[in-house]
Formats: sequence, structure tokens, C-alpha cells
Amino acid sequence: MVFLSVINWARCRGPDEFWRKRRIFRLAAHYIGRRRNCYSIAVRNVHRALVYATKARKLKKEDMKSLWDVRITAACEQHNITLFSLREGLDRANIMLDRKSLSDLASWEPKTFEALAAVAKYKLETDRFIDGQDKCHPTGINLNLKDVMLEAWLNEKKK
Amino acid sequence: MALLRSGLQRVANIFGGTQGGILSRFVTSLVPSENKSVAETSKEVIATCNKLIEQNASRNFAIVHILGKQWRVTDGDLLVVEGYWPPNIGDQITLDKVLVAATKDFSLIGRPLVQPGLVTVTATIISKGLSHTRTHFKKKRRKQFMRINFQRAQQTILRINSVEIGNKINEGRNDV
Repeated sequence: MVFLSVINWARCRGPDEFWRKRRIFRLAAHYIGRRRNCYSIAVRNVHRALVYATKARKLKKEDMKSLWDVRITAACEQHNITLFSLREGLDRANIMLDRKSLSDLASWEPKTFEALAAVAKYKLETDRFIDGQDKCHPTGINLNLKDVMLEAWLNEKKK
Repeated sequence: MALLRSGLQRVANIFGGTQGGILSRFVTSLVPSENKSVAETSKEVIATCNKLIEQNASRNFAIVHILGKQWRVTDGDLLVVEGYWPPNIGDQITLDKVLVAATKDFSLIGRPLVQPGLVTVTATIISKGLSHTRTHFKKKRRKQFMRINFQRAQQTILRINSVEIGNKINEGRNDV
């Protein structure tokens, strides 16, 4: 006897279900317990992981920015200047170093950073710029500004 | 104009000029005398700096601006620059936008860039390729909203061959 219609009753839910689920299981291979073996549980956790990864790319940049700010502030405090004043002074003196470079110099090149802080402070004093936050008690050593003779240079007009 | 610190024996020198003026921080063992005029002391500092450049005692570093980002760079560094950047593999390049250049004894700070002829940073492009695949996945729970996108950025790997400071402080001022 030949059974021709029996084969038509067999159902295939989806021919590539195995590979669809394998995409998820490969991402979940390092999970613990049922999360790496059972599909419905794995899917939820993989999706959450991907969402966290996506959001973290932005957060990483913010974290680095705040880390750099902390380091620059720490170095500024040693020279008795605030971060705000440093940035204002350097901007006015047309020195365009970003947070990353400044924190690098603050960590590894203390003398260069000291010179930068002195330039910023002197520039603000020449411009008679008053920073409201600077009223707090001095935390570090005062920069020796009386030998700073930057007037001609700093007062140059940019062409 | 010079910045002298008698206590700390450190000198930062600022060169007047057009936009391309540079500032140098300099460690000196001379006891600076405050009787000299500013112009004299700055000439002294420039001369000492030039001598130090000739001696070439230590490794130099520079802060370079490439593709919108700033990198601190010395000889033998590897840099990965992300984004569209025309240079091809094997090209020898000078990186011209130098913000700060320094040695062990003094540093030159540009306003915003150091003068063009002064510092030479040479680099070679080693490889160009794509970054790893970044998955951009959005999901709103219980709302049947799920999107997935893949992105790979172009990356160029540079090897910095040398950072050299020429002996030309106070010669030939160019507009930056």
C-alpha cells in the first residue's frame, strides 16, 4: 500500500525555527541556568542586554566627560583656580584644548598644566573678570602671578 | 613676554606675534633675575630653548588634532581614528594641527595652533578597515515595537613615526 496523503498531514511550524533561535542562543551562551537553554527566557534577557548595550554607548561618553572634569578640577584646586575660571581664561587666550587633553596634561604633565592655569588666571585678571564662585577659601598654592608678563601677547587682537 | 617663577625656577615664555603665537613652559636652572627687562629675559629663554632643541635630550610629545578629536602623541604610538578619512594605506603623513608640543624641559603651547614650520609629526597609515558590528537595538516593552540596526564605522590605524621640534623658535612667523 502506498500512503500518499499521510505525509500531507505532517506540519512544519517553520523551517528555520532552529536557526532563528540559534541567533539568540549564541548571544546568551554565557548566561546562567535556564537563561541560556530555554528560548522564551533567553529571548527576554538577550533583548534587555542589547538595549543596555545601545544606551550605554551614549552613557560612556558622558562618563568619560565627567571623569575628565573631575581630574581637571582636582588639578585646578592644586593651583587655586576653579574649573570655570580655567576654561574661561583659556578660551579668552585662544588656547583650544579639549577636556581629554587637559585631563591628560593634568595627570601626566603637571608643570605644563601649571603654566596653563597661570595663563588663564592672568588673562582673567587682565580682563577684570570676576567669577562669583571664586569666593571660596583657597585650597591650593597661589600661583606666582607677579612675574607673569603676558600683557602684550594676550592683548593682541586676533586678525 | 616671559613668565618667571623664581621659586620654582620655571619659565613660561610667550611669543608675541600674530595668531600663531606660542607659549613655552621651560624649566631652567638659571636663577632668574628680576632686574632684566622682559624682552631680554624672553630672548634668553628662547635661546636656551633653542639650545635644548639642538641637544634633543628627550622624547617629545605633541597634542595633535585629527578629525575633530585631540590626541596626545609620541614616537611609536598607534592611533585608531574613526570616521571617513581619505588617506590610504602606506601613506606617509605629517600631522599639521599641533596644539601643544613638549619635551622633558619645556613645552610649546599654541594659540590655538603652534606655528606650522616648528613641529613635525610624521605618521604612516597602517591599515584601514571597519569597526566591529555595533547593534542598535530599540524595544518598547508590551507595545510590539522592536527595531534592530547594524552599523560599522570606518577606522584608520596610524603609526606615529616621529615628533620633532625644529630649531626655529622666533624665526619666520606665519599666520595660522
